[in-house]
Amino acid sequence: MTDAKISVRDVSKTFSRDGKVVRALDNVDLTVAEGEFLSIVGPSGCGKSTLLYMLGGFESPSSGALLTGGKPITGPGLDRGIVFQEYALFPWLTVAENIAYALRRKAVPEKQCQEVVARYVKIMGLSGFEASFPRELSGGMKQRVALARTFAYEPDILLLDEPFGALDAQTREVMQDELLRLWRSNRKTVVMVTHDVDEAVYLSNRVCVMSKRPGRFVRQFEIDLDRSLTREQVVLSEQYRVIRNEVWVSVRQQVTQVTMEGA
Amino acid sequence: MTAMPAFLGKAASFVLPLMIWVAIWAALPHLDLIDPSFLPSPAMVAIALQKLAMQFSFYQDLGVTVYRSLAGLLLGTIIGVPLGAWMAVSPRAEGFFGPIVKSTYSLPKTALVPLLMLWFGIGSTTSILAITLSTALPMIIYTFHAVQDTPRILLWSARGMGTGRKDLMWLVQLPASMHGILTGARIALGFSFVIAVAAEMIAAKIGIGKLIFMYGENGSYDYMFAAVVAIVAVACLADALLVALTDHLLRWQGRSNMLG
Amino acid sequence: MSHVKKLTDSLIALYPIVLVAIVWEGVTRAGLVPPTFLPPLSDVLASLWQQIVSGEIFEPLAVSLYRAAVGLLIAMAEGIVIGFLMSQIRWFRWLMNPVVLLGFPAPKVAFLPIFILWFGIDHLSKIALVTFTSIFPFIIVAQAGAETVSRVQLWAARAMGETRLGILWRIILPAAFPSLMSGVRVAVPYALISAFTAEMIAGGGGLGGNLVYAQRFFETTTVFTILIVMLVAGWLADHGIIVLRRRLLRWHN
Repeated sequence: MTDAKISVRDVSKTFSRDGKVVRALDNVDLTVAEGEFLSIVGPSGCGKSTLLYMLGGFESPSSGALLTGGKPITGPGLDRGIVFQEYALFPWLTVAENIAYALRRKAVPEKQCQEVVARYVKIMGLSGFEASFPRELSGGMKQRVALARTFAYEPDILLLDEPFGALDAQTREVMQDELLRLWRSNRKTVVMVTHDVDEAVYLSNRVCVMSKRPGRFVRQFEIDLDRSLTREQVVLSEQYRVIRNEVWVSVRQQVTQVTMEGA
Repeated sequence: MTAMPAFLGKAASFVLPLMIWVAIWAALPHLDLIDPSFLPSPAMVAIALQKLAMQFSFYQDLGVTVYRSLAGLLLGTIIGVPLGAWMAVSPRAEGFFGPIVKSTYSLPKTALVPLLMLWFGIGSTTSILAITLSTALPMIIYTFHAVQDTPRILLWSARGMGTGRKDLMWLVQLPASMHGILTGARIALGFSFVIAVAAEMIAAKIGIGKLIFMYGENGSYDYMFAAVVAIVAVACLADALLVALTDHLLRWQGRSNMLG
Repeated sequence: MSHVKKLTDSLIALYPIVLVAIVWEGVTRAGLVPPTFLPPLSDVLASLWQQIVSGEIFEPLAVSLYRAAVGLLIAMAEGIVIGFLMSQIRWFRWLMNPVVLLGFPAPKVAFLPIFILWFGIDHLSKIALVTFTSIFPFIIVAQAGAETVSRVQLWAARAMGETRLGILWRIILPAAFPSLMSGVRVAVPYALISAFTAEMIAGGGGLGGNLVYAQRFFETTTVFTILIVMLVAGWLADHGIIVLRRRLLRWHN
């Protein structure tokens, strides 16, 4: 489809590690429409992060193609922002400098930079920490900075690699709602990789389940939760629980499947 | 300010044990363990140090040694850091310089001094060159490893946010490698003083090394000890300054371990 | 990968050294540099070969190695004990801390004339310098290694009837062993450098003494020969340690 925001066509990826050949992804196909919030779930090691890295342009497929807006992805770019589980903040820059990083690369005038930074500091609840270094922040705050710096330059596509994996349960819930709020305010396309099924179902409007390695998409679920409800209402609703259980069962099936050697 | 008592506490736990050691030093001849002519008392050494401190020539000697060390260290850093960084990002550079670095690694660097003396005679040139070569090596190695070990998620994030290949080194790799590079600098600083003093002891016209050796041969042992104390103090001071500089530059990372 | 391929790959990787060797030989043979300044590589290698065959090279080498080894062993024994005690006994750590903090950056070669004063110009003063230089890495790694033993491990041992000495021997020493091996790896080059340096300054034979002797008489070929022997000795010592470490640390990783 020419108006797909992201198009993954018949992509495979093999690595060689210590002389052994590892097939991470096996003929994966995927299309993501503009403004979609897509989550990819699957057993650990199934290759979902690898797919994300290829979308980011940090790794290339062994075969097949990845396209965005009809054009092939050849490397990293400002159109695809990425947030990592380990935050990847620059420890030698302050919070404000981290948030401003991409804006400075884009040669945005200083005054505008400051405005954008100030806006996101406020939105993400980082007021008072603009001059702090990442080492002085808690995990949750670091992830806020990571999100802020990626949102600040408004990339068309957001790639999230287990962004809340390193956080405790309460902080995770708060951050999930923040992400949802930010996404709803600009409706960019989001592809998130997570092992947390509850999170995937709560946040996305589509969840794709990947098989055990070598990764392949085996099922997808369209999700249409009533977003006018509070978090408690959503999570306790029948609709959420049904879909969440279906997705969970599907992932479980992948986890407990007998591995096919040599695949 | 609460910082003050903490600082005094730290200073005390440093100075007090030393005072005990000086007391032991002073007591040794009295315990008939050591012939006093071989171990001047702390008092005698202190007096000698005082006398030296009033001689201009002493500062000349001390200054020359420090100058040689630091000049060599600076040159070694100017050569070593860019080379190490280049080797970390360019497999071809690593392929070319790597074997050369690895093979000269095992050579005791003071051994270069006689060769350099053959070529350049006795004096600052030989010392500075020997120190340059000896400090360049650790700087290359530490920089190389530090740049290579830059976490890839930092590189990826930077590239995803529009950092070009050229900017990547300045904006990401070098700041991320600062800790490793400064650790290498600390090691290199130690080497630089050792080689400067050693070269002066082998053959020199001026320098603290020569001074120490000369006093030893003349039998002026109190002056000899005083000169040793002086250079040790200067070297330790230089090290402390480097650590302070490191802590300041790396304040985003947290305090460095005093033992490196 | 086959062994032959690995070998040829390693040899090809050494091409910069071959290049240097070729340039060296070419420049000197073309008469571009006077031989007292830079003798041809082939002359140096020939002299080296002759010294190996005649056995001439082994006496000074053995002397230097002896001094380095003795000094290293003393440093190891004393350094490990000091380091362990520092980790276990608070007042001792307090007392030794400034010594270690000052000792590390101090140019210990400055103490050589003091050692010569105390021990004469033969072996002992050089061994003393080697010991003085090599002891600090051991103190530091022994202390750090002993500190990897957690409080609960010590408590468990005490609960099972372990004596104070037993704790040192059966718990702290094995736990510190990997650190100690790293200490050895750092200390061995220090020991060699100190031995050579002491010989260069004070004479008394050994490779360092011969090096300075050759330099004084402008025997450049000998100077290079000795440098190569020092290089190889250093390399062999380092690799010996690596092999030893691998053998002894199979349980670690």
